[in-house]
Amino acid sequence: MAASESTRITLVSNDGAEVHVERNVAERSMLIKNMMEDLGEAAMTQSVPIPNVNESVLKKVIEWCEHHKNDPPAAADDDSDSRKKTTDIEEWDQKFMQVDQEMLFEIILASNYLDIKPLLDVGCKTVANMIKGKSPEEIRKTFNITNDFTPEEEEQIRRENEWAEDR
Amino acid sequence: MRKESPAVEADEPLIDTTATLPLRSKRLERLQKKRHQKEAASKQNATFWDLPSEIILDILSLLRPSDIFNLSRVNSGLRDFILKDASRIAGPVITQRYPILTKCFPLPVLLSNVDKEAHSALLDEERQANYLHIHKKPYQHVQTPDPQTICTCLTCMLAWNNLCLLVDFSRWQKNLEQGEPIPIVPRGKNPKWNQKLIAANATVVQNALYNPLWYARILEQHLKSTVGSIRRHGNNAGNKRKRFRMTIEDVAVENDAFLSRSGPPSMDFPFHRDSYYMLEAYLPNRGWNSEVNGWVYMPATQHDRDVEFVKSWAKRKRDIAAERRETTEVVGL
Repeated sequence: MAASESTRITLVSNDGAEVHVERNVAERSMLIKNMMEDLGEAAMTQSVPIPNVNESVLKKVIEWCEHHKNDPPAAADDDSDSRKKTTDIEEWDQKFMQVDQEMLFEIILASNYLDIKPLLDVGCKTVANMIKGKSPEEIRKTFNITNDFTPEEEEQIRRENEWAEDR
Repeated sequence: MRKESPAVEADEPLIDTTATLPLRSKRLERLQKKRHQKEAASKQNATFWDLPSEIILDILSLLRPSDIFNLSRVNSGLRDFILKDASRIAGPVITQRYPILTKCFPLPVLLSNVDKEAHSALLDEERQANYLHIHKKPYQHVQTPDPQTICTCLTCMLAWNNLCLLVDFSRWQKNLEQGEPIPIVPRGKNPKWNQKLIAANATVVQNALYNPLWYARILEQHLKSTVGSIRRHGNNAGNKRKRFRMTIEDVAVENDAFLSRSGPPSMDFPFHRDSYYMLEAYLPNRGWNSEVNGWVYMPATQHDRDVEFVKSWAKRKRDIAAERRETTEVVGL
């Protein structure tokens, strides 16, 4: 364990940047962990390409992995428990996720690609909290979404959903 | 030449005709291609729409049903996505937030989903008029279901009545909170406003029959009504009745977990709006079992048993009729 902690590997982002990282930190990603197991010793000498993630996002993801490198593995039933409250994000993660929206979605996409479930969960919760309690107009503003309904369509939907919304 | 030059300057403005030197080399092309690729890769343009549908479903599963309804009004893309995947969205929301309420308030089964053999028995005029009378006519706050739409076995009848009641109870929460009396409908009367109200309530329940998001929305609203009622009665120092223990944290998590604790059972259906004043946590179809120290719920197979019961009742009725015919024929002979 001590040996793998001190071992550093090199990840290469899709824009060609090399990022050096401790192996146990990188292995928060199940994709990299499996890759390491498949490659064996060869992984120590070769750089590992991460074709779907650019340098800035990769560094951000590594920052999260660094902070959470000693987290215990999630139990099987943790998933439903942790989701009981969408606002339930630990303080460090909340600050970590205070990034611009493009970066937030990039982190979600990267954590999905790299298979880092706890980071993906934090990302999803952050987006859910951005939607929670907002009116359709506020959601549009938050995510810069254009309203493509005609006024008639909008009125019809409002009438159909009246009970579900006006409470 | 010197004299002409100012005139030339005035008439013809100087134009820089310097063109970039055409640089052509394989090395340069390679470098440029690499630079473009790097620029494209570094550009972060990800938006909500770039997320794969599985992730959007994960995000929606964390929301309250009311938030999902708001989201469905944002634009047509989101609306289509939500309507198309209503079951996949509502399923996890109900499992995570309302696992208790969904057992207390099952949906009535659509008649089209009931064994065809049972239809004639369920729709039997005598049964509809006499046997279900008690579950229909006396209620001013619940509209009678259409027997051609839903199954009218006892379980489904009660399920329909309960869901209509939840919608109606939620409509009067403001009155209850503000201490304003709920308008009384005199016995035997059914004013226009009440007809309109119970028809609107029935539409909400009908929506829930076909769209699980509406069902989840009703459960969300009942949790809100329940939390409000427990808080209201708890604040009333004179009301010392036994009630569910409910903390600030229980309310903040916005799920029904606290209703798994011991508390008063819901024995009677609130047959009149007058019952709303004292109604706290209406959670039918379960009973407290002290041996297991927990609630025991109505089995999910109850509907099937009830349909079988109706079928055997219809068979008995047919047999009796046949017997009578035979007797009449014999007497006639």
